[in-house]
Amino acid sequence: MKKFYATFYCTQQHKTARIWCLRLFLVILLITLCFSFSPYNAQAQEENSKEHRPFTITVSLGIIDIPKIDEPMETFDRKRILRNIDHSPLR
Amino acid sequence: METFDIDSYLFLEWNDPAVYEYIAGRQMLPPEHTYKFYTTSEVQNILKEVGWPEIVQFTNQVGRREVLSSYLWVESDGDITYYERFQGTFHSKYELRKYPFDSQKLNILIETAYFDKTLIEFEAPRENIVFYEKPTNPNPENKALELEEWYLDPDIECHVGEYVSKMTGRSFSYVSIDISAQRKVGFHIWKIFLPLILIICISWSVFWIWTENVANRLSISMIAFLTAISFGFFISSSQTKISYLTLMDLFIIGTYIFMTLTVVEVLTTHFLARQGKELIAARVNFYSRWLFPASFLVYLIVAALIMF
Repeated sequence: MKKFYATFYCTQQHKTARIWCLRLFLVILLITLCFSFSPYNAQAQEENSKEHRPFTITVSLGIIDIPKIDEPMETFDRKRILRNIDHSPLR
Repeated sequence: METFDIDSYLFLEWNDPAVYEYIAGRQMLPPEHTYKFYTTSEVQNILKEVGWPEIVQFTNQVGRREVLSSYLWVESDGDITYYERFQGTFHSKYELRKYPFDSQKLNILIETAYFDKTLIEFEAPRENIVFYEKPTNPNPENKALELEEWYLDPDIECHVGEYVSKMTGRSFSYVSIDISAQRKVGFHIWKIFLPLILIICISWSVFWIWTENVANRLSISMIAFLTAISFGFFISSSQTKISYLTLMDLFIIGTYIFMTLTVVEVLTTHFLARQGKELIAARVNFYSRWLFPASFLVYLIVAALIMF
């Protein structure tokens, strides 16, 4: 019986402290959340991501002419290969 | 593999303030709002120096792309404009089963060799991929190019995507441009189909000649057949070497088959007449007058249905 009272007494004593601890924890959590959504932090994140954002290259094409379609490429084209060599007399 | 040649302007625009700072920092040029470089070698050297070498490459180009002129503008706010006029040959996979009633897509594939997707992302608005409107264009409403052998669709398809390189495991951005082209069939109708149809009609003229006159009937059939064969050789020498059959091939093969059947009919009626069955020979000859053209027509319809 004595033991029972001792336990009950001890539990009641810690209950208030535990509630306060929980309240404190919730307050800290709330403050942390508020800071994480604050504009300063958002800007910092944005700046951070800006550094790693890839360059966007806008491609535009204005087709002037398509002089030839349908050229068969089955055979060895000597002229074409010679033209692609830097020191070729055909260049 | 089929190819097409193209002559085009290429514009690239992006923003990199570091480039302006670098050029201004070199102090080799007086400070300006915009730095402009107009010679191709100078442009290439500047791009290499500032860390933008070979920004784009055309993946499906064959051989070297010839840059006729180029310029580079670098503005103080970091806006960079690169321009070049180039000529090059590109290869594209063609589907020729419906030839000569085929439509093709001329593909141009643009990507980067050095810069993966963490560094470069492409953007290609559809309105920026166009046929260049010449100032002397007599028909300004027609936005597509006028080609002798092809109709070009003025709406060019453009697709920006991303792929992972199997060699490096890195992902790259790319721009795929498709120009739709439909072949003009006038040449093939007047220069190939019509002569072959006339040749086959001449071979069928034997059905109006009496079966006893076998020598004349055979000579007409054989001359028409040989003419068709030589005509076929001429056509095949000017055509692309592909392994599968096209609609044109089916038409030519069909004419060969029906001309051979004409010879078979001539010989059959001859043997029937020799066996004293002149009446049957005359009937076969009579029915062949409409049976052969009708069968050829059905053959062409079936061939077209298979191919389309």
